[in-house]
Amino acid sequence: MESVGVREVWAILVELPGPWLWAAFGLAAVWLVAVGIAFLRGAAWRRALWPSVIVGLATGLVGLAIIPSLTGASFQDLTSVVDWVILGLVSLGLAGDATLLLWPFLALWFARPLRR
Amino acid sequence: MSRHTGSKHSGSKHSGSKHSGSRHSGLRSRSTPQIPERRDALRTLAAGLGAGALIGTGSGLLAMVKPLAAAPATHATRARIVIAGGGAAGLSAAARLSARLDGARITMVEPSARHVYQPGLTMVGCGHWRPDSVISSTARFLPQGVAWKQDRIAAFDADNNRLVTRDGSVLDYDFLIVATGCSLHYEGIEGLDSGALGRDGVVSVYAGPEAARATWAAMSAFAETGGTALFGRPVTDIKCAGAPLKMTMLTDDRLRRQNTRSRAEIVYCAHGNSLFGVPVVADVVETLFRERDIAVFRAHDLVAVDRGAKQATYQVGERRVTMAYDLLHVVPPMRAAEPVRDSSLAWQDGPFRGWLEVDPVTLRHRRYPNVFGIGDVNGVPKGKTAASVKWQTPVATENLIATIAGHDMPGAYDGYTSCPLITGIGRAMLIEFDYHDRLIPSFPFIDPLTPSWSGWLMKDIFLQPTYNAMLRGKL
Repeated sequence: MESVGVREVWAILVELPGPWLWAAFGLAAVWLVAVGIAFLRGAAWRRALWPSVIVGLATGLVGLAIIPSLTGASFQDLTSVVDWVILGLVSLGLAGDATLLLWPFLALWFARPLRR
Repeated sequence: MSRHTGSKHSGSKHSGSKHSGSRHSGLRSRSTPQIPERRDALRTLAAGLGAGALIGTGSGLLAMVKPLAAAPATHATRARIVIAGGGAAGLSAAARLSARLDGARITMVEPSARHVYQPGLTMVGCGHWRPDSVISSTARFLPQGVAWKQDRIAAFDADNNRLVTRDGSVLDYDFLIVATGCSLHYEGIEGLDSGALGRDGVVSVYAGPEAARATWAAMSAFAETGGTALFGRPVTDIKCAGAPLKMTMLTDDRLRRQNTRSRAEIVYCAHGNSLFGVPVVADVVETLFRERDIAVFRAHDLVAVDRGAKQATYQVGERRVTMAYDLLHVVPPMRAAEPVRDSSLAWQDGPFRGWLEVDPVTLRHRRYPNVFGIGDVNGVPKGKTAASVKWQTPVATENLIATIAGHDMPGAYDGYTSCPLITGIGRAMLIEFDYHDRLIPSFPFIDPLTPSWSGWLMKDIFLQPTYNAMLRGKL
């Protein structure tokens, strides 16, 4: 398969519907701030990892269940292995996104001062 | 800038598909490295999908993304370039030329301030998209530095390198790109005009977003009442030849979802003996129609509609056949816009009579070497789709730039076109083919002849962003 250019991929991504694009940028900005704060506070990254992964996987499973219907399709419309692979990859991507997104916030949570 | 000076093709009159001084000599010519490889758009889509879906895992399709390449060099010129038409072809040509030419005086002539994403009209017609999903503005995509003459073209005077607009303005040019698209000729069917659409069971997704919305309303009503639904296409060349088939299958799908299929008879009136121009695809569509109990009448050409009596009349060979309908989806006869038809730019005879007389490979006019054509207006064997525009625009614009620079024309169009043939909500066949009816799938792992969710995803989510990127000259 031929490679494609970063320029072309970017050109398409920025043409995705505005609200989705701005939501993604906004989320990314919040995430970066959380990472920055957690980093500065020396937050508990390791303790936060597995809860993030578990919640992320749960998100991926929910995605697996509802993504076809979000496109107007049903599971009966997934007629080929490729369809299922795409659904799996998208769900996996969603799980990864959710994990990465949660991680700094959970790290901050785990790093909070405990009350006595 | 003198008119088309320096080109090896200057003043040459082409005949047939051979091009003196060109590296290309027939339909089988392939794109050169200077032109983006064909089907990159859909591959780019896949990478975009991968980028979005796999960004969390940091693997997968992103691995095949190549490093950022340098932008193509610009060429200094004072040439006056007029782009006739500001639809998909005109806007994408404007974007590419303005980015590649330094100092060129580019004018686009387009009357409409509204831009319609026409590939989405079937999605509106089946109720999956809202009409405003396909509406944007011409100004949104007009590149900086390109003058916009918001008027209709009244006449072309190719012998004197000028055109005249309705308000009497005369635009002289050194180079002309004709991108005036198709003209819908509803009046060519007796008893019909575009104002009749959406009433009395007569609908057509081709007429625009509002007509597509009315199609959905009529289809929904038909799904309640049942009756006879007639579909078909005219004998003329049409844009998006898959659309009538899509609307037939989408209506069937709608009825089945509502459990009222048994109340309806669906009839497809083919203009010839085949349901689609590519034989292998036609076979699949025949099978799908048979499985869904969709009747096929062959060699039927819609010639008259009696809206009061709800009867459609077809020319079948020497005789006329009249059928009653409850829902009639009309695909109007199509032809090049009147100023093209009435000018010396058009084919004067042959199967493409009235359409723009361009070479099918270089997309340069066969008699006027400073004129190029892009999109639906071209009198070529295939390619009245937005996907064709995607592949024609780089060819035509690079060949135009090479002509300005006095170089050989590097671009060759192989007839690539694409039809995401929707077979129902949630499924589509991603069919891509060329002048020779060869299937040329962009994704070898997706079977183009099997309706799939992946094909539907492409149509539903990724093609419009790709189209928009094309209008901006980014693809």
